[in-house]
Amino acid sequence: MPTFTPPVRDMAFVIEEIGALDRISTLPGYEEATPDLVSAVLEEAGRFGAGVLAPLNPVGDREGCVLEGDKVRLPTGFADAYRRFVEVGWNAVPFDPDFGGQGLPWLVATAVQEIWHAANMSFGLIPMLTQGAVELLSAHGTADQKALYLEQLVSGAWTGTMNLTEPGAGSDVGALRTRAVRDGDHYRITGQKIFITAGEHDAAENIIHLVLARLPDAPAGAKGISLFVVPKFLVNPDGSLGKRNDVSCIKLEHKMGIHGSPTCVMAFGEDEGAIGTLVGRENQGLALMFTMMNNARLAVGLQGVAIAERAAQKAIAYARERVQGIGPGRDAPGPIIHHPDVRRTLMTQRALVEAGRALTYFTASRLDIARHAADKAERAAAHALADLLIPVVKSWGTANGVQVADMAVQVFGGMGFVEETGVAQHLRDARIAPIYEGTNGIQALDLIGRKLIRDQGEAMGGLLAEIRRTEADLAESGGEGLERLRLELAAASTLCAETVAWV
Amino acid sequence: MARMALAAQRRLTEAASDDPFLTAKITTARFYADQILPRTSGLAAIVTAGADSVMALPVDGF
Ligand SMILES: Cc1cc2nc3c(=O)[nH]c(=O)nc-3n(C[C@H](O)[C@H](O)[C@H](O)COP(=O)(O)OP(=O)(O)OC[C@H]3O[C@@H](n4cnc5c(N)ncnc54)[C@H](O)[C@@H]3O)c2cc1C
Repeated sequence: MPTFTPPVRDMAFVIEEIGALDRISTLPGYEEATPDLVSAVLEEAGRFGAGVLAPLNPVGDREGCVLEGDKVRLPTGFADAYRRFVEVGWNAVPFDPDFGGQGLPWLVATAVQEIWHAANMSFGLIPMLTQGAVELLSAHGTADQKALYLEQLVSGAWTGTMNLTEPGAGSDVGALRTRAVRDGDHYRITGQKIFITAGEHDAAENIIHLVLARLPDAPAGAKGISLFVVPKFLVNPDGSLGKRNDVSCIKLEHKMGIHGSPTCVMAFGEDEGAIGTLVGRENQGLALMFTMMNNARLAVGLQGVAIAERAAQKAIAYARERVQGIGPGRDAPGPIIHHPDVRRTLMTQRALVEAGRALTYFTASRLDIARHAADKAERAAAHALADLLIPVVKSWGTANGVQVADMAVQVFGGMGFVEETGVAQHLRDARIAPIYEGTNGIQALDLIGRKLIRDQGEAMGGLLAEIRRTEADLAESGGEGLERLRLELAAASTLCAETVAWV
Repeated sequence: MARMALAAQRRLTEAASDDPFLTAKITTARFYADQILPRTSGLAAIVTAGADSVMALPVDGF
């Protein structure tokens, strides 16, 4: 059974037709993103994903990560694979060329990331977290912070983390208690963070933690939170590594899935206080976090699509191979793919994967337009549409990831429940995505509260108008089978409009 | 899905081909319309039924 075949033709199709690559490649800075270049990048990424990362996926699941003293050992092969990943330049794909990035559109970077997550979701989390750190420092870092950290984070030589969660502060980040005290030109951070992905590991020489903490005189709740950069090793002005900072991993969680990703309890300031520098202004921390939230949530929705793709591939291969029973209209026992119930399952998987990929890439293309279009009104409209769709991409993508992986286990029958086939790992891995980066319940609050009620349905109105245009195009094309599609789409969009009006 | 089906159909017509990759896009979109999109009517009914019965049982009743 082939382990993983990156769906590069599907990806290129969606990038061109749904992400409108021809429009994106006219944006300033993105001129090089031609269909040929994109296909070449996807082919290369596919080779790395299938050849290097996918074989490590079951190893990560079986071995997990190990805490030895205050050091974390990743599963066998992960650190080496990460070094190769950095050497080849994969970490730098979407970032600013001024800091060593390759400056490709998010639309394309999103497809590339889908390959990492599908091949090995635990591995994919390392660059995903670094990406958040790059975005925060690019947008809000001081000149010093950019000079010290950005190039190394863009290349991936150093990795990033996001330290929000504490035992008493999960969905309600405003409840966090980690303290930051001014100390000359920096701050001393003290407190405990939990569930920190890649908080400690052996794949990079330095780890740059972005930490939310509270100043002693800060207002209560969400308005009193500030953001700090806390490097594992302090960095000298010439870029060389200095003293070990007062931050360490004190425990690893034993988890249901993503065993290859270390989920760390981090202790800041057990001795003199971890040294950190402020990002942006005091008490602005949560607002700053919002600048990277769209991309981070998109990336987690994408993990759902990626795991769904991987699990669906396994289900198809098994359904072709497993002989059991006689399908309708056949006269001898044959592979289970001939049974209508199995076919329905495989088609549902395929439809959910393709729809999820289309919505995710479309949203990524709106983020590109929102950042780079010359026209202000076009930027604003793309921004509003992306804001509206992000909670949908995150929650729908991750829910489908679980559903499709669950269906794959079902297609395998008893062998799905047995770990040896590897299909159960995808279900266990997929299950985290509806939880982290804002639970799907929190996404629903965001969609209804912020994205529908606060803007009085304006962005939704724009989206519905686009759907109506698609209905008109379907009517015009007159292709057989498309008429039924148009009727169902019209019924669904009308219901959607009525439901939004009810809200 | 509809837009992918439209794009696939455009490409099929332009190239006068029957590329199975493209015809599968149309087949999958039709499946989506028949077998997945109708979920929306159930979901819409659930949303517009409101929260009364959701919150009706008091916390002590659990
Ligand atoms: C493997 C893993 C990796 C993680 N990585 C990171 C990381 O790198 N950095 C980081 O900072 N955090 C990380 N997290 C933490 C993660 O983001 C939180 O677990 C998540 O935000 C939920 O918080 P909680 O666990 O405290 O759950 P709670 O907030 O206690 O939520 C429990 C339940 O209550 C619901 N709920 C809570 N509040 C509301 C509300 N207002 N309205 C409706 N429902 C609500 C939730 O939806 C959920 O179902 C990670 C977690 C895991 C398990």
